[in-house]
Amino acid sequence: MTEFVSLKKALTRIQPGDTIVFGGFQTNRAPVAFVQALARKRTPLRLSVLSFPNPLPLTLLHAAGQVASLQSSFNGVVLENGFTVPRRIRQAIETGQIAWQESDVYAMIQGLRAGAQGLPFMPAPGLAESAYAEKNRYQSVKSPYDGGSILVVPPLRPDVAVLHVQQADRQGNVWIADPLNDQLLAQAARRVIVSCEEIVERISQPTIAAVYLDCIVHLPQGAVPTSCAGHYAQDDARLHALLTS
Amino acid sequence: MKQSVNYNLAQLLTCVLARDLENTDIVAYGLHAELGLGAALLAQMLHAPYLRIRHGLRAGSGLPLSAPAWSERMHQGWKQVDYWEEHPDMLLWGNPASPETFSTVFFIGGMQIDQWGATNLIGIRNRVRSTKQNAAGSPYAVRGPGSVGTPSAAFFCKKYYIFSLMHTPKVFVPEVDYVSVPGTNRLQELGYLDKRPRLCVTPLGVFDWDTRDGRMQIRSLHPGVSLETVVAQTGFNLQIPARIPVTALPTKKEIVQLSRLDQQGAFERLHEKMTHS
Repeated sequence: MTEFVSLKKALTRIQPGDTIVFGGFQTNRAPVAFVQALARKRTPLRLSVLSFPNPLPLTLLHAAGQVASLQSSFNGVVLENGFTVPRRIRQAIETGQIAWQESDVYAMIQGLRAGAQGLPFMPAPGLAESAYAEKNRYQSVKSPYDGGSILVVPPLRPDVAVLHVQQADRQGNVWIADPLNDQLLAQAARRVIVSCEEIVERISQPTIAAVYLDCIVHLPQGAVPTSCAGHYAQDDARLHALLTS
Repeated sequence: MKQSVNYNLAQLLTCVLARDLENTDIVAYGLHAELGLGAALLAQMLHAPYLRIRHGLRAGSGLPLSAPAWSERMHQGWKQVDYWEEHPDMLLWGNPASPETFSTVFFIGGMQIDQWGATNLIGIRNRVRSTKQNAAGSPYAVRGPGSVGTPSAAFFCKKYYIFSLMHTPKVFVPEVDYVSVPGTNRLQELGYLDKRPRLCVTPLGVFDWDTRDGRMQIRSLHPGVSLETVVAQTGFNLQIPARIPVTALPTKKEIVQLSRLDQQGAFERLHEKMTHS
């Protein structure tokens, strides 16, 4: 049963050392209010962040000293005044402050699929000659069916996924106007925390059913300054300030 | 064909790309939508009405030239989207072995691009042995934004195009520091003899890799660009054909359509970026 909880209680579901992943894509529907509260925690969390690519939660947690490592495919967004790379994340990588792994986003999605399905690996053809194959020590296996060699990636199994959605209903089902990675993240993660704009009596066609979710927090405006389709647009000036401060 | 004199560099590059697109193409694009989406929309208007456009997370045709659907600036702007394509589904890519071909065309940029057509969005290697910056032993002088899905897109898509908003020896290097998308040298070793970027467009000209040894060659230079300039601005020996054509200017028809689909000055802004960088 999905629980409706306070923000404070939801925060206790994050454990030190967790691998954490956030819903939304680029500048949309990042669970910013939740992340800001998490960043204020005094306990050192040493989180491993998976970014799909979704730079704001990562930037906020890193600024609070809560990120030990990062795995992503991309760290940048296009804002009104051009392409922006989060300055501190770039510096942290350039100066070796955080452990960091980069991959092709397709390889990461295949990893999540393996994680969601409980499989030991998933083929991700096409990366054999990019720098990622060697750097990430991706292995190839011989296909038992056609004998060809195929690169495989290990499963990604986040401890916790945090999503911000438009609606939740009393049964704990959620509706997302613009689902991007959210369903796969909810399937692959061990625990799923949701913040939502509004709670309604009943959603007739949920995007993600309650069975996938652990707890829901009612947090209107919870994605500001990223956008939440149907509710508010992104705030480029604030995004730029947060990403480059 | 009537040529137009009133055009800018961004429009010229968009026309070059559009002319190479065809009815059977399925086009996806990432950053700098002006070029990728612009070329696809222009091709749809002029010679490839059945070309399909699928973008990161939005699908449709005849949409105005605009930012990706996730960078929502307009309240309720998301309602313009035909349907949402989930990111994992999008990453079925154009795998020819999959019945779900996401796209057959993609556009790829790079912090570095080399003579073999390899791209690098990963970072620039630290060439100084010990500085304050790399005290922790980081190999990067500059950390790039990351390759997103460009390695897999280049592998799966039938046609991929390279673009660069700058044409300097720092961008066009003999060999990239880190390989995002492999070039013809590595691909040939793997047995992919026909795999190479279709074209490369820059502020100076149009280039390709249709050469015997898989090195980049000049296909055409833009009006007013001399061979000396492009040689000086490229960090390796370009293959130079006996006769170098001038890039065909946008026609009046092309310019009329381009102004129809860009009413917010996107090409002008991209032009500024290219000429001031």
